[in-house]
Amino acid sequence: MALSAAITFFTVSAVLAYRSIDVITKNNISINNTLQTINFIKDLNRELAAAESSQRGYLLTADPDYLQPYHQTLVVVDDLLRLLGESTTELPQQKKRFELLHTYVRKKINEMQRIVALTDRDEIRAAIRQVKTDVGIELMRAISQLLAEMESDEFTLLEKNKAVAAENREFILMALLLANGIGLLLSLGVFYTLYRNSNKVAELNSALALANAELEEKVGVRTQALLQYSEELQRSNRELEEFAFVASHDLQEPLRKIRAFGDRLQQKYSAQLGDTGSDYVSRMQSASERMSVLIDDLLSFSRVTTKQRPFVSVNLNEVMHRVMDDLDYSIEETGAQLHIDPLPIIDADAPQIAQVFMNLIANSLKFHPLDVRPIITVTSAINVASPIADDSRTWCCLRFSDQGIGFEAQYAERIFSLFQRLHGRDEYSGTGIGLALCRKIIERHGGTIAAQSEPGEGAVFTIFLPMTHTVIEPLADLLADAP
Amino acid sequence: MNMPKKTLIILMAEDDADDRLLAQEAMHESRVLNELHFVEDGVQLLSYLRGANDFSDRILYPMPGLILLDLNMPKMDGREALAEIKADSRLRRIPVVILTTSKAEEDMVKGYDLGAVSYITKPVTFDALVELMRTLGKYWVEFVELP
Repeated sequence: MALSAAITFFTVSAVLAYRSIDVITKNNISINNTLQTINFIKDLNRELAAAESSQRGYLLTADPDYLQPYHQTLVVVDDLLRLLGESTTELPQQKKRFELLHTYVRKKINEMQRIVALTDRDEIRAAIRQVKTDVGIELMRAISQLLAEMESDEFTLLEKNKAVAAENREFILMALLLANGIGLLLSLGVFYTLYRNSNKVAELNSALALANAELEEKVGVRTQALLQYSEELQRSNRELEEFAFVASHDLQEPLRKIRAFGDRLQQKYSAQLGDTGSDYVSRMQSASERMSVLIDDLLSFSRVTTKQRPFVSVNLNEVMHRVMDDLDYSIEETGAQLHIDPLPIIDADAPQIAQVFMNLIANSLKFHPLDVRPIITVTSAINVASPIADDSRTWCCLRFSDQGIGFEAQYAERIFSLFQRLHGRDEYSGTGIGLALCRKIIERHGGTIAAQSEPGEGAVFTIFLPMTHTVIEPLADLLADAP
Repeated sequence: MNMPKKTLIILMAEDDADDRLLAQEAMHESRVLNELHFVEDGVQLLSYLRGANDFSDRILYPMPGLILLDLNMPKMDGREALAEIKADSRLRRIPVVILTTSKAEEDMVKGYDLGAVSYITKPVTFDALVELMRTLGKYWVEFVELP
């Protein structure tokens, strides 16, 4: 806005100043012309006056020396008339005067030539007579009158031109002053705006630097906190592993002694113990044995996280084959029928998945009515919808179903808890670790496992697993890469 | 089988007094007439084998034909002791059977790598321990030829 106004202003003032300079230039030419004209008028006047007095002197003295200026005038008068005629074109009224002047001058010169010719022939009287006619004087007066008028008009024109020149000069001066003033103001404005903007930029820059520094500090604090958490996590993992070691070795050791010396008691001192004493000892023995199994179970439960292997591509059909081989004896013993779908290949920890298959099938073999052959069906589906919201991975679904004793629907969650059992030990053996282990393993794989059942209707266990896993960098490495 | 019955001298390295007692009783129950001697850690084991310090009397502390070695012991554990035995040209021919509570795969592999002839997990019941003692006695005395 301000810019276009400035451009318009400078253009208009430049055009006006140019026009004024043009006017002044033309005006200058006109003034020169006028001054020249005035000069010619004065020259003509002087020449004629000189010729007149020269011709009178010759008449009085008859000395040809007096005729010197007269001859000179005759030489220049035509040139002067011509120059005057060329230079008096500017004022229209001068034209008529010049024509009149031309006629008078010619007549005057003729008259002077006649007098000089009479004087040359010594006809002095005739010459004096001619002079006394006053024709020459009248002509001279008329010429002077015309020249004065012409000169006066030229002077008037000169004054007028001078006034115009002065006016234009003043205008140019004013325009120049104004342009300079406005230019100065604009420059100041531009400078001030630039200054203010650069100030603002500097202000914003320093604010940005401050914010950056704050952010860096925050990131540093967070990084420190994350490293600390990571270290704590690693320490607690180490402690858990140590606990697992202690549980497996140091806790099993005293139990083994209890059982061994219990055996000794029963063998060496059964007579002294009597039936009741022997019963007590065998109860002690079986309790020790259960505790030993519990410790082993606890160990295998903690091993899901402490002894985990990285996920690799696993063919679940091969895993299932190995499990079937391991369960071969139980399958034959119970006369079970198994129907197993082709299974997918997924990213997994194979031994852990084998553990899940083993526990689920072993459960189906275990929890069935004695007089019925177990029928176990494993179905699979791939590219199923993710059970987790906002998840773009491909999932598979494995379904283990049997026609066993089943359980009440209200226990569908409880059976996955550690050491939770729905039956007495004398009914069905076990510590209640199997399904807890299954859930822990499936959750470690990022999947879900759920059960559905009704008493006497068999049970269905549904597993959802992501088919691929992104390799997650250890936290410490991730933080080490951070700036 | 006309050969006269030999007796085998077994040296057991075991830090646990209960286990030593149980082993002694099991040996007795097995009715195999083998001599069983005890040391309580790896340092003692090497001293016994080299007849050093208190073990210089070879009548009281005869050279064993078989070593039963526990892995987890104070001062010098079974692995270190085994390595040292196998590095000693006078001792390396004595067969070493590892008898331990550890079921860890790495212990087993390490044990065989170091030159143990067997790796046995301590039996849980006394009867099983008696059976082990009987089998060991029979195997190493009746079937195996030792220099």
